[in-house]
Amino acid sequence: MLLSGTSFLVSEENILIEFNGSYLAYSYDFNQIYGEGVSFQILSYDVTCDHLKADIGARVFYAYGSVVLTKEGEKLEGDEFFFSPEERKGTLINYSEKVGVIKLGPEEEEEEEEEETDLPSDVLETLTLSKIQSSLFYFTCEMAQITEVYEVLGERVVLHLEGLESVGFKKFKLSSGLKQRDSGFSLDKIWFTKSQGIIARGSYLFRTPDRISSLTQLNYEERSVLKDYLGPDRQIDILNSTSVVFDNKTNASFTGNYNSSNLWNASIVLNRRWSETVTTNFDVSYNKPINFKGETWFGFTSTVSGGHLGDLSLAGRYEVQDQVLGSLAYGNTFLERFTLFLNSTYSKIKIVGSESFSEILTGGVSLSYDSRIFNLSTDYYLNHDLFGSQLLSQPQLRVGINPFPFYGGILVASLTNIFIYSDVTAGTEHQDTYSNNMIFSLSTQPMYVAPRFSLNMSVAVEQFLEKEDRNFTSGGFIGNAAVEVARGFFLEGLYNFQSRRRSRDWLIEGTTSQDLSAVFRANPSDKLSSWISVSYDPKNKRWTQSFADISFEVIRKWKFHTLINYDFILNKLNNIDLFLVRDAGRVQLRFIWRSLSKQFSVELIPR
Amino acid sequence: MAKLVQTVFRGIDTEMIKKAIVIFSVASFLAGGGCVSFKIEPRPEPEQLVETLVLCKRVIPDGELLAPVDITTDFVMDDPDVLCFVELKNVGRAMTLKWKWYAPDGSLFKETADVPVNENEAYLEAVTAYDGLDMQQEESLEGHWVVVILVNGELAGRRTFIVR
Repeated sequence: MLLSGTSFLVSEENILIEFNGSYLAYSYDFNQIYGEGVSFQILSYDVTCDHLKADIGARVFYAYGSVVLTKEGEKLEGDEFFFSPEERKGTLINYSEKVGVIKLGPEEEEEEEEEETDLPSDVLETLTLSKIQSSLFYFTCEMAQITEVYEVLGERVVLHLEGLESVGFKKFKLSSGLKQRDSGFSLDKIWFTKSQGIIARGSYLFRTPDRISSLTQLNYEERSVLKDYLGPDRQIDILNSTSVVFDNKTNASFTGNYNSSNLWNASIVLNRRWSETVTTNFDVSYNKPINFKGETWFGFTSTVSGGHLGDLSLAGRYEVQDQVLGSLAYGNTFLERFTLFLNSTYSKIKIVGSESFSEILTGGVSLSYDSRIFNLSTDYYLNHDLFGSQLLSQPQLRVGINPFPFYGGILVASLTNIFIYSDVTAGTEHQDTYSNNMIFSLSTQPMYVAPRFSLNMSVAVEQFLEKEDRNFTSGGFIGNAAVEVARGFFLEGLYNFQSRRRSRDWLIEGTTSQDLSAVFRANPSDKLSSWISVSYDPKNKRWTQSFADISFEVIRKWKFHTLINYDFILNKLNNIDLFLVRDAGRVQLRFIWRSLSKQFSVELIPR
Repeated sequence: MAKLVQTVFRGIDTEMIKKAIVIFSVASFLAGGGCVSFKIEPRPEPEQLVETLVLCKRVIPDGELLAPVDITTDFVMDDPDVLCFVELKNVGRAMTLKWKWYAPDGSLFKETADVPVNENEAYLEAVTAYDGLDMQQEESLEGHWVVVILVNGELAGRRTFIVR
């Protein structure tokens, strides 16, 4: 389990600092160390202290209680010692008649200060022995070493699993993870499942400071071991992602992907920032889909931020088989409330399975005005299919009243109207159509009719009219009542009524639907968070569905969580998922049972 | 000016002892029956005593113990007190507690006498105690303050706070 998330590094380990102690404990969950009766060396001093706290992830090291530093007859004493093994500096503080601060620097220059404001503030308040001992995985040892890449190594180690003393090791790597990794090869995972076979994942990282970073990942799946598997015996995926920084204005990136099913692609992007407002990307890419001919594209994208003159974006791509993509967009806001947006695209793309091309030119103009009371927007959209000789033009007009409160802020109303006209010309054929859609809504804020009882309602009406007379009117009402029966326990009722009426000449037809739901919520503390709902159909006088989401702490940070769905109409349990979850700092351990797939799984997820 | 230090403690719960014996038995069985690859000598038991050290405005009774209320590190001159609350866990021997309060200029403003705890050397599951800085002073107390707590004369915790 633990090893499935563990990287094995081939690179050399250089020790940054070594701690010896009467008691040293390292929490894998939190990546933190707590120690008692600890000794170590830093800046040529031998240091002893009562207590040590170290947060490896945050790079904070703090020793306190009877701190003594000795070097060649020199002896410094204090109550607290903050130090950085990487930067080779420390601060010794003592609390006597005054707060005394001694800073120890790289050149061993000692300067005494008496200014209290220079005190380091992070004393790792939350790092306590009981926190370490509540970890899912923690180790106790006599000696712990921190490497230059902040890996933690231990000697004469005892693993504690959920607080129980377990296996002992002479020497063990206590921490791991890609985040802490320097250049080198890593075998990330090997496992077996009945559906996928044997799976192996490895990666190789190459990195030079501030310039090149390249990660190559290999995924291998061996399926020949599976029974009744009809696909290929094995599959290999190789992915590479490389970035190179040339200077603070220019960088490039490469991504490549090869799959043994004869699919591969690669792309190179060069990003250049000409000035604070102008940026351009140049790219070359090759894509080879399965069973189709590969495509090679050359392209660029340029953006110009013109401030009050507006923003302009220009992009173009060309493919060696004469395919072309181009786009131009301009946007600007002026006179504070007006927004203008223009865009145009041109595409000439090969039709799959033939030598012909589709050729389409589109364009759009949008001008909108937004005031405190209402908003107005007018759009014009044009689509010209140059290959099929079709021209679609579609002007739109939207008018809306912004939601406004009234009746003391209890009620909120809004009104929106959208008119769309479409004109299609195909050769000598010409067709036009129009529609109008109006929506009105009125809702209330939650109204407390008693200290623990609130009501909330909303109604909406929509009318849709069009040239072809397929008109309809629909309306709905939603009512919601909530009562807090006890602290953290709520009972909610929801009633939903929807009606849709279609009118055509003298004929009126329509449907109505109703839904009545009750929800019971329980959130009295962090240890219990659950809700159960049940739905009733008043129109047909029958129960419909029930859902439950129940989560509570079982013991020692183990949480039980279940999702249940029951269908009263089919009279069966549709779905039940069971989770047993242990939050363990930077990992989460989950035991999962899913009734739909009838699968039990165990997951260890890095967080 | 000085406030009296208050301490309250609770003895160990017999139910907890029973649970501990069961857990210890299971752990011993697992460790003995498991695949121990290397015999590690028993380590001395750790004894980090300070479980909680916070600054607050009030302290209230909480069962047999005390609990901090209005936990903060930001105080104003109108606040009546700044309280430094400490909770010790698993106290098995006699010891002393001492609070030291350092003013913004770094000078020692106030220190308590050594407060004896568990003189009878019983096993106490938890001990709570606090000391306070009276804000009703003639002089201004504004600035960044430091309070440290010493157990048997050795520093066991430190907090900083600001008075505006």
